[in-house]
This record gives sequence, C-alpha cells and structure tokens, in this order.
Amino acid sequence: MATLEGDKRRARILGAVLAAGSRDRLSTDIAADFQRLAVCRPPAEARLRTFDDTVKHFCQQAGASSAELVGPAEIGELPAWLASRVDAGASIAVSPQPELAGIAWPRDTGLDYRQRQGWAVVAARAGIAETGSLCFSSREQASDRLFLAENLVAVLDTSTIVARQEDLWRRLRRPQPDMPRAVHLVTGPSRTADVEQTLQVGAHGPRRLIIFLTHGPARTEA
Amino acid sequence: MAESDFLLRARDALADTSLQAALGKAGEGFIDKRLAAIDAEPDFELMRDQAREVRQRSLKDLDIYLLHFEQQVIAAGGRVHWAENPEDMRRIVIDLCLDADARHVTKGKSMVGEEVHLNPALEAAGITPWETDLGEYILQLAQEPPSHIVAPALHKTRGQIENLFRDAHALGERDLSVVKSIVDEARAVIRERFLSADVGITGANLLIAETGTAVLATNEGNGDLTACLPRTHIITTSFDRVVPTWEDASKIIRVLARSATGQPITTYTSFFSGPASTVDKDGPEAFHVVLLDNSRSAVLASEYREILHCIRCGACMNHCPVYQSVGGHSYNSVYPGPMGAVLSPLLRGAPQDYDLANASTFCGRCEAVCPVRIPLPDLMRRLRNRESREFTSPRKRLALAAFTALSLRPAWYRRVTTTAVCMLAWLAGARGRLRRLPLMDGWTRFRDLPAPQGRSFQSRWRKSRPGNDTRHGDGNT
Repeated sequence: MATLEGDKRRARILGAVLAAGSRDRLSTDIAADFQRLAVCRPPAEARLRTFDDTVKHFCQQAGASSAELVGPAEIGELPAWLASRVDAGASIAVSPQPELAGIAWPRDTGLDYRQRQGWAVVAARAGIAETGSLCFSSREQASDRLFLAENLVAVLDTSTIVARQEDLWRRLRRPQPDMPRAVHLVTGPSRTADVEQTLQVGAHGPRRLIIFLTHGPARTEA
Repeated sequence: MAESDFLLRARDALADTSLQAALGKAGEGFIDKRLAAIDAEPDFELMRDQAREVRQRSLKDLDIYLLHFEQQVIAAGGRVHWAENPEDMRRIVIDLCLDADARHVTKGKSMVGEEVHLNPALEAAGITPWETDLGEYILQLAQEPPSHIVAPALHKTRGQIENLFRDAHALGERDLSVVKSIVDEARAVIRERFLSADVGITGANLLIAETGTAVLATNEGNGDLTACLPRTHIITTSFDRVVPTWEDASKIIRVLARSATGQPITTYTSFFSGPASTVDKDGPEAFHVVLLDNSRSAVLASEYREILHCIRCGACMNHCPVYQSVGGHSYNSVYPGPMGAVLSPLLRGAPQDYDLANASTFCGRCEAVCPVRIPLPDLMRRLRNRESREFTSPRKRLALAAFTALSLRPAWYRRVTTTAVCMLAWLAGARGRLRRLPLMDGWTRFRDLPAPQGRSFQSRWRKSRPGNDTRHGDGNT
C-alpha cells in the first residue's frame, strides 16, 4: 500500500519536472541518454592554471589547513617518529592496510573511541594539490578510523598526489567503474566556528592531522 | 514568538543588544575571509562561470539525471523515496526509523530537514533526535530555529551558549569562559551519541547522478560520524541538488567553501554511494535518499528557475546590509537573507513572505558575491511586481495612479512641484532645514530634511538660458 502511494508521488514529481523541460516523455533508456549527455564532455577544469610543482603546492595548501607535515621519509622511520610523539599510555591503532604491514610499530592497541589521547595511523589513497587534501576509500580502511581518533597520522606517497579533484576521479574509475561506499577528502584537522565565529580546531573529528610523506616508486609521466 | 510582520520582528531585532553583539562579531569576519580566499585564487571568476554552467546544465535535463541517480542508488543496494510536501517527508523518515527500531537518531545539519520541521515530528513518534553539528546542537538546547544556513547559531553570544550548557549538562563546577572549553564539552557529550545511535540522518550538499552519490561537506566531522556509524543512513534533501558527474560536483565544491567560510575546501568532503558492500571495511547496512519537492518543480517551470541554482553557501546573507542588521530570525524562514527572500515566498506561498523581497535596497552585493551568479535583485524585483499585481491596497493604487497621471503631464508636473518647492523653502525659513514635516515622520524622526534652495531646476534652467524657451521649454525628457 505504501509503495503504491510512493509510486504515485514519484510519478507526479517526475511528471512535474518533465513538464518544466523540453521533453514530453520520461526516458526509456536511461543509461544511453545519460551517456549521451554527460560522459564525453571536454574537461573544463583544464582551463584552470597548472601548478609548477604539484608536491610543493600540496604541502603549502596542507600546511595552510593546519595539517602538520613530516618528511618525505621512508615508511620504516614512522614508528620511531610515533614513539617520540605519542604519550606512554596513549593507544595507537594501525589500519590493517598493505602499505602499513610488516612494520614494527611501538604498539597496536586498536581504536579506543573514548580515549582522549588516542592515535590512529592510516594510509591515504592519494593527495590533491589544489587544496592539500587526502583521499581515503572505504575499501581500504574503515571510515571510523578517520574520525574517532584524537590524533590522525596519514601516510601519503608523494607519487599519488594529483593536481585537481577531477584528476583523482579519473584515476579512481580505474580499474572498477563503480565507486566505493565512501570516498573521503580530508583537509586538515576538524574544526568549528559555531561559537562567536571564533575558529576552534578540534571539533568532533581529530584535533591533529599529521601527514607523513613517503617517496613512492619512480613516477611515470601521467 | 513569530509575528507575521517582518518589520515588527526587524524592529525587535534592532533593539536586541545580545543579537546585535553577536551579529557584530560575525559581520566583517565572513566578508574578510571570503575576500582573502578569492584574492588567493587567481582563477576564481572562471571557477564561478564553471559552477554556474554546471547548475544550468543540471536543471536543463534534470529528468534524465534524476532517473539515472535513482537507478544507481538502487543498483548499489540503496533506496530512493519521493516526497511531494513536508508531511510526506516527515512520514517517510519516521516510517524508515520505525522500521529500523530506532529510538535514538543522530542528525547532521540538513536545511531540508529544518524546512519540513522533522525534529518535532520524530519526537512525537517516540524517536529522539540528537543534533550533532555544534551550531544545531546549541539551537536544540535553546529550542530555537536556525538563523543562518551555514552558521545556524550565529545569533548566539558565547555567554548565552555557556548558560545553555550549564543548564543542560549536569557536569558540576567547570570553566566555560573560553570557546575551547565549550567546544570540548560539546565534543565529549556528543561523542557517546554518535556511537549509540540507531539511525543517522544527514542532508546532502550535492547528489551525483553518475553513481547515485550524495556529497556531504562539513568542517566538524559530525556529518561523517552520523553517516558512517549507525546501521541506517537517511539523507533528507531536495531533487534540485542533482549534478551529472563527479567532475561536475568538483566545480561546485571548488566555489562552495571559498564563498561560505573562506576555506579552499571544507575539512571533510565525503561522497557516499549506497550501503556497505562486501568490499567496504565498514558502513551502514541501509542507505535511503528522500527527495523533497515542496513547490520546487513549480519553480523549475517558472521565471524564478535560477534560484534553484543556489548551492547554499550563505555568501549573499553574509554580505547583505539588511541581514547583517536584523539577523536571520526576522525572516521567519529556514532560508533567510537574499536567497531566502526569493526562495521562501516561492516554497511557502504565504502573502507575508513578500515582505522579505521588499526588505532590500537592491544594493546588489548579493549578486556580486553569489558563486553561481544568481541575479537575486532581479528575482526579488519580479516578486515585488507579482505582489503589486496581487496585493496593492486601494489607497496605494490611487497614489500610484495620481503620480502616473502627473508624470505624463509635464506642465502639471512642473506646476505642482514648483508649488511644493516654494512652500518647503518658505516653511524652512532662514534655517534652511525642516525638523518636522507632516507625513514624513519616518524621515524627520532621525534627521532634518534639507530645504529646497529656491526655484526648481527646470525654472532655473529656463532663466539662465534665455532664448531657449521655445525649443527646450516643455520638452518631455
């Protein structure tokens, strides 16, 4: 019964949208019509300026977003860096990703949602130079690791840094065209300005974002 | 509290010292931050053009994009629901929550959720909504509606927020005199709620037709914690949020935060495409998108169509001298400021909403800062035309008819204005100004009216250029 009502509402709304446009019938081959309209468009973002040094621009922007940048260094140096920064009793949760495997972490206690000094270590999928953003995919780590730890360390391979968001989308569509449940672009630590428009870093997400840069394998011309 | 007359509310707002203090703090901040952001971005004008083009193209073939969006959401294991009006949306969301046996629901900020008054309906159905956006949380404690679409508690001072927290959180003696302690306390109180909610309800900044994706842009991280942790994620939004592809979404994202808060991008910009599949590490089991119409399809077919381009950045209200003086509550609408002055009457159809389009000097700042170049003053002017056709009082009609008649007869116009000018000059006498004048109390209450200095321009012109009488005398300008 509810579904029948729902179908009627859907029909009326779509009918009204149709009436506001130039067609008189709803599409019968949605995929083909969408393909025709949307998919083969020239990239307008190509008209925006290019960056001389993508990695340098990324670092500038990330720094401006209050992220802390470390490196570039070898991934093997990260445990020592962590040991020097993390309090003795604080939890460290290392995301079970291939990039972070086989490394002697000081400890891996799992994600303690309630602990005030908790640390999480994750590996980012890519970086975007335009805004100093990190890209994460729900196929590579659980989303909650990005938001529940007080301090987040994100390992970023500099060879994965692209200039603009659109460059990233083109990469994400290979090999599978279907998108992960969640793609997160993270730029700096969490913040709010809801109290008297005064910026306060550390809202619901992490208070600190540290980007640990690593050199990737030799980059081929994109 | 909500009176039907905008002017009455505005008068109260001007006299409200706490509100004026809060507005003063907000005032230049938004303007300066936006300016700094666009000064740092040499391509900003090009970005605005690209964003506008995306919104135009999205609405042009909206039927196809909507159908594709729906198809993709379903293919990913989610569901799409269609709500014609606020009652439909409330009913749909409540039913989804009841189906999920939800007792507690976390909420990310959703303007559409506010538009349909979702929270009271949830409470009436025995479901407790917990706002998680700090601004919305403050308003939930104060039991007030939002006054700004990006900074909902903009009208509250730090002192007022401190009092709210002291009353609501039984946490004993503690110092809440600085912003940091208030934010820390909110973080601690709300964290438990993220982890225990059965359902998470968020809005969406954009919907991507290509993959059935909802885009959420936040700074606090509350939107993501609301979307990812509970078993069910419900998105309350409107069908006009759709854009075709991820590349198109980027064009909007690029101008959104710069215009709203002066950041190149919000801290968290997330793209949600359906419930968790076997290859995702976590995520909700159920994913529902509820699309609201509420007269938007009528707007789409009308001369006001461009208001649907709005990306909800709030730049227009940040730069509006009227909004900055009286705040959002004076508008008595979820959508205040210039964009609200156009959208609210179109969605609600209430005659008193025409007040909002009248509360503008047409200074044009709103259009100048709109990232998608919506011609807001032009749309407001059309609303005023509509209002004058529907609602002008007989007395006003008579006065306008008299003025029209006079304007079309230059000789009579000259006689009447010359008489008025001479009379005013005589009344002012040696002082040269008038402190009081019948029918002009609105002006003379706060300032003197300078008196005309003698003859009208036309008579002086004729006098100083002898011999021009026959050629220029009665010329219609």
